[in-house]
Amino acid sequence: MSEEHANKRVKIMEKNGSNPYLAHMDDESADYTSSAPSRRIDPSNGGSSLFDGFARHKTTVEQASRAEDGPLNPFTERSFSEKYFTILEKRRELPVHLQRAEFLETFHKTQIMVFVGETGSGKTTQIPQFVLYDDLPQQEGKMVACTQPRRVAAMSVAKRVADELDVRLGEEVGYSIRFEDKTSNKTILKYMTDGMLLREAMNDPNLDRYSCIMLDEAHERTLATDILMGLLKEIALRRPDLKIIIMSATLDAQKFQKYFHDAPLLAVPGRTHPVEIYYTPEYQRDYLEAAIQTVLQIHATEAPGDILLFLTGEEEIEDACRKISLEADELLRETDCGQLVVYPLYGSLPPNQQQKIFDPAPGPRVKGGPPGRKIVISTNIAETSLTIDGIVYVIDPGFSKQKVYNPRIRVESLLVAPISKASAQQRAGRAGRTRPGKCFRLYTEDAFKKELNEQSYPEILRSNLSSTVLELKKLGIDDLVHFDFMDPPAPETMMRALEELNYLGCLDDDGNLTALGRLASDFPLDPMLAVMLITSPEFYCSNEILSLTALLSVPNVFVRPNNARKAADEMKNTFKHIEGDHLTLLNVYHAFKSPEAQYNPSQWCYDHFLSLRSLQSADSVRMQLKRIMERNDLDLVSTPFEDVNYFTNIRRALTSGFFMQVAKKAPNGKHYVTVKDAQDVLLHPSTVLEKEGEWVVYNEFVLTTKNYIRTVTVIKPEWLFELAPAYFDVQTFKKGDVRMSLERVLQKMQIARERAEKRARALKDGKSKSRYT
Amino acid sequence: MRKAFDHNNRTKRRRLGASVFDREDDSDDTDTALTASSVPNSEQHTVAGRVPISVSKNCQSSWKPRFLPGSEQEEANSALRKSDHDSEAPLQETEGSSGQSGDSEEEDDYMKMQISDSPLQDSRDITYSERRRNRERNQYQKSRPLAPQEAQRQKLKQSLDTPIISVSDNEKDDERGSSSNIALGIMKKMGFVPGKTLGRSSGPQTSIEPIRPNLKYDRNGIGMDTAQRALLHQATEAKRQEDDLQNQNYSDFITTKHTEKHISAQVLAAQKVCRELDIADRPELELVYYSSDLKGATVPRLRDINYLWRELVINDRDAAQEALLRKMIMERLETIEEVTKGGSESDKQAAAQIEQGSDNEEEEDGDNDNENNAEYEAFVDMSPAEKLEKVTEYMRTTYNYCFWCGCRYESAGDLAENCPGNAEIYH
Repeated sequence: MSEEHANKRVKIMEKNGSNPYLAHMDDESADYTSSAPSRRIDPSNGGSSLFDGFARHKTTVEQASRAEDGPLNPFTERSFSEKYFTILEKRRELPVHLQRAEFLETFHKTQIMVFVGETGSGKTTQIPQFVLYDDLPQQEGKMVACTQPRRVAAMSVAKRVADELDVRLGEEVGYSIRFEDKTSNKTILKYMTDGMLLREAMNDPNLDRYSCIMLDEAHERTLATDILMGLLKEIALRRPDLKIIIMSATLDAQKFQKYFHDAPLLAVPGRTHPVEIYYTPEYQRDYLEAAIQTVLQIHATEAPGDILLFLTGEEEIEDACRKISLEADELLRETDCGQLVVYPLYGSLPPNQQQKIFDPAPGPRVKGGPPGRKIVISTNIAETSLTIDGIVYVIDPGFSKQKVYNPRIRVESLLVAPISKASAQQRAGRAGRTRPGKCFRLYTEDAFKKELNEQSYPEILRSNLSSTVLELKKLGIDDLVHFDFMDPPAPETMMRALEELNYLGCLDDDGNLTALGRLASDFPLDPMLAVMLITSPEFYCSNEILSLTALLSVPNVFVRPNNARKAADEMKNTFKHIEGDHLTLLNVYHAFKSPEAQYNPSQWCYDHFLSLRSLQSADSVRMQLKRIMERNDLDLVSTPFEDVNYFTNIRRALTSGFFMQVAKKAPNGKHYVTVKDAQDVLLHPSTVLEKEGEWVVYNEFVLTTKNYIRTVTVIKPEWLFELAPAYFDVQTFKKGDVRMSLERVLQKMQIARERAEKRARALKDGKSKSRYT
Repeated sequence: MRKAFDHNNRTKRRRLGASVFDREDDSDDTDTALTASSVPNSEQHTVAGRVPISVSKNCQSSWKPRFLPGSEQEEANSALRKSDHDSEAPLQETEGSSGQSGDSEEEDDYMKMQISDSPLQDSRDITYSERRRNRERNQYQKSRPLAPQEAQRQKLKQSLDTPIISVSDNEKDDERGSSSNIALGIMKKMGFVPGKTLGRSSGPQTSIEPIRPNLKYDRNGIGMDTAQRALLHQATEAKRQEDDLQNQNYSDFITTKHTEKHISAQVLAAQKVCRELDIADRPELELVYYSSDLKGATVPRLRDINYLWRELVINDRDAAQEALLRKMIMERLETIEEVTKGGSESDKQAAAQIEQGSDNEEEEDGDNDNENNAEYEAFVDMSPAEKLEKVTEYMRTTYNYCFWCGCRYESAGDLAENCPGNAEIYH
């Protein structure tokens, strides 16, 4: 989410595409006004194509170069613009270009190849173009796909490549990401997130619309890329005409080679400068403090050059920013070293602040004095996805926040953990983008060798697999146990996923996909959210649940700036619904959609401490989901607002999806206990809940210094038995307070039922009596 | 946080011993010198003159980062061709000396940190009462309500440690919910075997264990936890060894003490038997006990007494003398009460008598011929075991008497035949 805004002002054009990910951020206007949109020849009218003489999978570099030199664009048959030639010149300086012949040779020979190109080699932008000129997908009526792990990357690279090919984004070159599809029937090169390709495979099991598929950044080992590799391995057998390229940025590509039956490997060196690496002589007691002191020392003693410091999260980064600014001020007063400006960079930072990291460092304070220095303190966003020019020093404390799922506690949480050696290497590399740099690691060399894993754990080992299992089921993979995982997940994780899907009714007891499961797999959502959305018409509140699902799928809508926490909290309270955070979110959304807010949304959001970006993307997610609902004939209904059950219905619908995330207040009243796993949890301080109901559903379990449940809403325990009788089978609960309470609830329900029956009988008797008397 | 060159720390180290401090001081000097000298090294740096000011300020106020260049930079940064390996970096430290500098402090800190209220003990070495106390303490700890955060973490840890697929057949899954069985059933139908990994090719690094969330509640740097764990391990190990040694010594001591006591008692018993045998043989020896009363010619002199049991006589005499003395003192006290002045005469007499007695003895002793006396003295200096050996051996050879059998044999042959030997263990 964050990266896209971080990079708005990258000087890509003059900088030779140093960061192609950011291209889509450039002004649309600049691109096409210059190119003449005339002289369009319809390629279907039998006229001679500019690709005459090109034999599929037999082309040469010379042929391609001639075609690239123009003057007509072989894909659009329009004449190339001037800008095209400027870019072309730069493109031909890229390291990959030197090995184009080698690439084509390997590409012709084999079905599957592994391509290794380090950062800066140009692989993401150039290889797909090399393929286009050789594979000629337009002749086959097919497409070339290139997957990216991140949405931002897919969007920005597509934009950049559209520029390089001198075509309009969304026509010959397009992109497809969740909730956004910018392609047309002309599209021959499609950048997409790996998750999107996986979704497409669910409806197109052989991926027939593609003639070549490239999995880029495979070294990142995202969940979707891992599943795709397993799928492609099988599809390759069924479709010998399909070419597959696995692209990786790290040298451990042997693993990919081995996985794909010893596929040939082609490696292109990156274009980076040497980086000297320093370690501390002993371990650090407080890496944050050590990092701050290192920054100050670099500033005081090292040659000019900007600093990049990696920390783990927003709070830590803000803390460091404050401390460094204070120390720097003092340094400035006492000595006359240069000015030090500090910029934070993390996901939830507002875009205008993210852009600041691209400001150049301040100049000397006095003429001839030492120049100023810029320091960027970032999460691992800056590790791979964006490049900041001028960074010469990198400080690496060795930690990052990583998602971890553990099936034993059923919690997926972001936790601070040591990075891997590969990550450390990537971080160090950031110092050598513009000139030789230095990397200061805040740990010993011994610790580097012994404590850090070689590679980060692939995402598949760190994730809740319920979505994945549903997808695999939909893909027709019945034997999940023997699916060819590159790194198989823990059996317990698989079991939890099956269990969750079974409780949700997506899988029957034999593991077959149910109608509900099939429907749920159509939604690009977590199964719990999907089931909640699908069942919501039964509770007469699908409109509201639709909004809520969208709101839960986007980053936090509430903004809480450090300097205005109190005001922000007060403003949040104006949206408060006493029964919980979910309903509060709905209040926010409804207020946002009011004409008053829509008159000037950005001002309104600013005034109300809300994130316009999140609300807008919630809006667009809602639109997408609505379309899917309509396609599946799911009714969009609402309870009349005046009805007393308006909010109750919403809460019941919520419970029908989230019954596996219920907590009960502990007997001492101080904390909550999750019902099945019996973990002690606290309500997250951000909650609006005041009277703290006995039973709550929660959206998220957060592991920090304390265990928190975030986004909670009060429910009634009776609903649990009504809506999820299988899950709330009292016999399966451990003896204890939760079980006793549930049994009491059951008794109460039983008594109420009996009383109702008696009353009904009495009424009936009374009636019949009265009839006779 | 660690402040390597902080003054507080230095004083702390000084307490630890001069040698550590000396080295510390040296490295400190080199460090400062290095930083200062390194500045002109970066040519474009125009602030060369001023930098040491800020550095020295840092030196006093807070931790100053020091770095060592990576030894294997090629490996660490494979693609980056390392240009100038030896170029001196301003932040670079010369030697590992400062690297070791922190160790002493760590140990120091660590010792403070360690609370060894329950040292590791072998269960068989603790006494019943200790065990009881331990049990009570444990019960108390269990019954004591944990701090909420602690309770949270403990429950979390417990859950993380409990696998939800049991490999053995006696499944207790019902505790974990019936659907677990359904899910497991689905997997088994696909051919899953509990205890095996998923996937087609199980590489060496595939684990059936889910990844454990790394619950980090502090800002300790990488390597710190391991280093501390190693130190803790070392220290507990050392402590245990020390304890072992002590326990060993103590039990040894107790055993020897017991055996010595035992043997001494046996020596005494043997001497008594020996005395009886000797007196039975030469009845006049008994008169030695009445020497003070019978001033006759036949009274045997102390030196005539067998040195093997002369001790007894001397001890008895000493005891008798002491008793007499005590008796006289008591009498004198009584006289003091009765007679105020005249009593002093008898007092003097009594005292003179006592002195005379002891004088007599000395004279007597002085009369002893040296040979006999030397034998006795050698005997007294012997260890109880040797004494025992000597006495019993004497009785065997002289009287065919076995101390262990408790009887007198007819002849030496009879003794050799029927007595298993001269030692307690044979009997």
